[in-house]
Amino acid sequence: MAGLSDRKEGQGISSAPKWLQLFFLVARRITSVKADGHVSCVVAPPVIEYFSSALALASASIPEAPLERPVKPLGRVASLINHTLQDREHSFNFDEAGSVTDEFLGLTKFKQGTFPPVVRLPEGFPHRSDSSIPDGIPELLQLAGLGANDREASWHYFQLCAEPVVVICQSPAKVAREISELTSSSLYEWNAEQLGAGAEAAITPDAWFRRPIICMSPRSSRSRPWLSELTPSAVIVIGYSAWETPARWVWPDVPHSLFLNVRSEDVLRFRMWHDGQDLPAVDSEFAKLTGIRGIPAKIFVEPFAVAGNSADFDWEGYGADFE
Amino acid sequence: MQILNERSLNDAIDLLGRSEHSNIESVRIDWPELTELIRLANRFSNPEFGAISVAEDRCLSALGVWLSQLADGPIDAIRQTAGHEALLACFGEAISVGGASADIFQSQLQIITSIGSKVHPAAGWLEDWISAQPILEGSPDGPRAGQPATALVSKKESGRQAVEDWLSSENLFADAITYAGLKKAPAYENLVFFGPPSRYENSKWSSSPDSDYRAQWLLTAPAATGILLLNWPFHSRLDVSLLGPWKGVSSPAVIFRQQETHPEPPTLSVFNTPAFEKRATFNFDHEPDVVSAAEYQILGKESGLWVFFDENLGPRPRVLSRDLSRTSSPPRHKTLSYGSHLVFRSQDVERAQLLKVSEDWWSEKYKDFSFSRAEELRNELKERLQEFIDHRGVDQFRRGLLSSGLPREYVKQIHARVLDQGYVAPQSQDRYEALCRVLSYRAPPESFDLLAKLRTARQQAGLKLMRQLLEKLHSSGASGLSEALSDDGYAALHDDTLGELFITTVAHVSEGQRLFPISKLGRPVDEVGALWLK
Repeated sequence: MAGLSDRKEGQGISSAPKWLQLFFLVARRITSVKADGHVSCVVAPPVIEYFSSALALASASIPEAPLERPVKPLGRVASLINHTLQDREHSFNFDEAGSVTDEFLGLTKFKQGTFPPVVRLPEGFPHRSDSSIPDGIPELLQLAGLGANDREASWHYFQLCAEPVVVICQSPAKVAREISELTSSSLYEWNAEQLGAGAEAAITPDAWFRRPIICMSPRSSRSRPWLSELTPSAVIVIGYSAWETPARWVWPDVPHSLFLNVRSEDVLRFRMWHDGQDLPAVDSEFAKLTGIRGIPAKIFVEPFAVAGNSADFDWEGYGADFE
Repeated sequence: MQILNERSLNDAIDLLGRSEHSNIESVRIDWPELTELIRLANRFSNPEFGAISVAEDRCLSALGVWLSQLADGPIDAIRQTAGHEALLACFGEAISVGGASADIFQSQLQIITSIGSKVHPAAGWLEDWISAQPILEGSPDGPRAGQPATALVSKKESGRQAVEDWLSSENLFADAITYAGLKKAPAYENLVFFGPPSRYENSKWSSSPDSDYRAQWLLTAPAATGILLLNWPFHSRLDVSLLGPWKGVSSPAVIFRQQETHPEPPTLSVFNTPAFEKRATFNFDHEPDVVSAAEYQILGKESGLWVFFDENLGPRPRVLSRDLSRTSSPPRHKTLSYGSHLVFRSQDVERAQLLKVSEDWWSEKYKDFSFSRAEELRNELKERLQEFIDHRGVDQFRRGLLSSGLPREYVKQIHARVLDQGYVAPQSQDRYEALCRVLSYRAPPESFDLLAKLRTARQQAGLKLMRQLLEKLHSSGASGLSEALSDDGYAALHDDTLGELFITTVAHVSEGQRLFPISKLGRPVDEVGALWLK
């Protein structure tokens, strides 16, 4: 884990454009807002493109807490063996010291006494084929001090994938392209975690544990009840149409960032919903955030009770405004 | 199906920069006739007024259609698509019915006729404003390199076309764009809106805060650094409290001001000599290059002087305002009125100066010597067109352009415009390329950019010369020009820089049109048809 604490500090954020600094601030501090309800930050950039993708990248960060060592069989798990991201049946026993049986070691080149990272897959999670970490990413992470060797660097990537940044949007492929474009732009010197996360953003939640950023349509949440058993590191919602779906209640405990498309009906619909509401006050210094000129932002909290109404959501009519 | 927005990262960052440093100004233009017209129309919405007939109701609907066109830019009020003819027909019918409101309709009809006979009041204001912008072209490394840095925003496509035609007729270097088109367009340096943002979202007859919320991005996330809201009486006032993506966001600062007026200008007396008619006796019927043009008798010589203007060809009249503060060029199809003061300059001096000042401006701005190359390209385009028309005819040329998908109204007059001495090239690249295709002219790749620069240079030169001219007239106004025009109806001045100036008065407007040589259009001629001002 060498270098993990170093990269959290500084990282040249002050060299980022002012608007990107705002997004780093939101990414790092929105979790500090504690309230009895669903914490959200609404952002109104001048155009909808790229700005939400920049927040997704700014939010990509390897969790401080290491993955837990399982001591009991977990059933179906997501794991990383060599550079291959695999789903496996975790049916063998670990002892208290964490050593594993020969059955498992046959699948890995890891040194004896270590174990591949494993996270239990929720009930109903789809069966899928193996996949690889994008080329060059372990080397990139290792160069940045994230892992003393290739194995540890790959493990860091898996950690990013285990708690991905979720972007709920109408056009996942388009947002994924924007994220990729941002990482290769000269806009800012992204750190290795952000570059690794942005290399190949996924466009379906079925890629959970495989990619650190998942762009998904709100409809994707409808047929995947297992999503609520997983926990993203951040949720970004693009556009009011996506916001008003039940998708925003899949992870009510995770702060959401809503990006309004100010050149669409979003402002009208958001104002009609927001302006008349008596939303609870938020006792947090960070909740006084107002954004910067050109990108207003605001923290607000919705009572959890509101979630109950979402069961009646008209999925059939959803998206009629942009299709 | 959703349309993918192909906005680039640079566009997005650029738009943010514009939002951060935007400068919003709202200017109100006086238009007394329109104010009165609306006041009269509003009388019908008073519940005490009582029921109106079907003919009268039709009248008010037609008025609404016409007004909505006038609200959407500095367009020609009697333009074919503006609904002016239909309006006059409706009013004629309503008045002939002779109901209780006939007097009101009669008054309205007079005002409508008066508005139709004048230039839109925003036109002159905008001409000056657009030309005076310090940045005319998009940045060389941006998406608008070589393209206009200013755009005028119309609500509808019909309005955009009308504005585009107006820009083209005034040779102004600016884009015309619709509200819908602006949503996906890269940023401009300046944007001009007609009325408050909500107008672009309002339905035909109603408005609500919904429209303010939908259109608020025009000011809160503007697509340009400079935003000008140009208002006239038809437009509702801007409510800044409704701006912002949610309640409580501080509204952008808007500077409100009234149309500027010139302090105590010298005033020309109205010319009071009774109208007389003396038709020119010359005969140009044998000339090969003649065109049917409108004939005006002007003052300045006992044996008579005349000037002819054509709807498509030759220079446009330069009318001097009565306060000497500005000159304007009314639309080509508009008849000049008796008593108007016209300004003429010696053509050779004007052309030579325009060329010289354009070249100076070009050299200073672009730091290169490609001006003469641009002039060559301009002339080559004219020659190609002339050759095509000589061999294959105008109709064949028009058919070619129509099959390229260009609008019929544009195609109708473009050949004459291209051949006009002052014309450079079509402003939009697709139209330019269509023109070249039809002419089978393989234009050099750099030609469009060079011609765009040339247009800017000529426009700037024209503006500079116009300012010099006005300064001269102002100083002359103080030293007897006003009296000379009042007493004699004309005055001749000499200026070392500007050459000979001749200011005269329209003494008679002839009925119909007559054949006249194209080469002498827009220039005063004497009784034997010789040019009066060399």
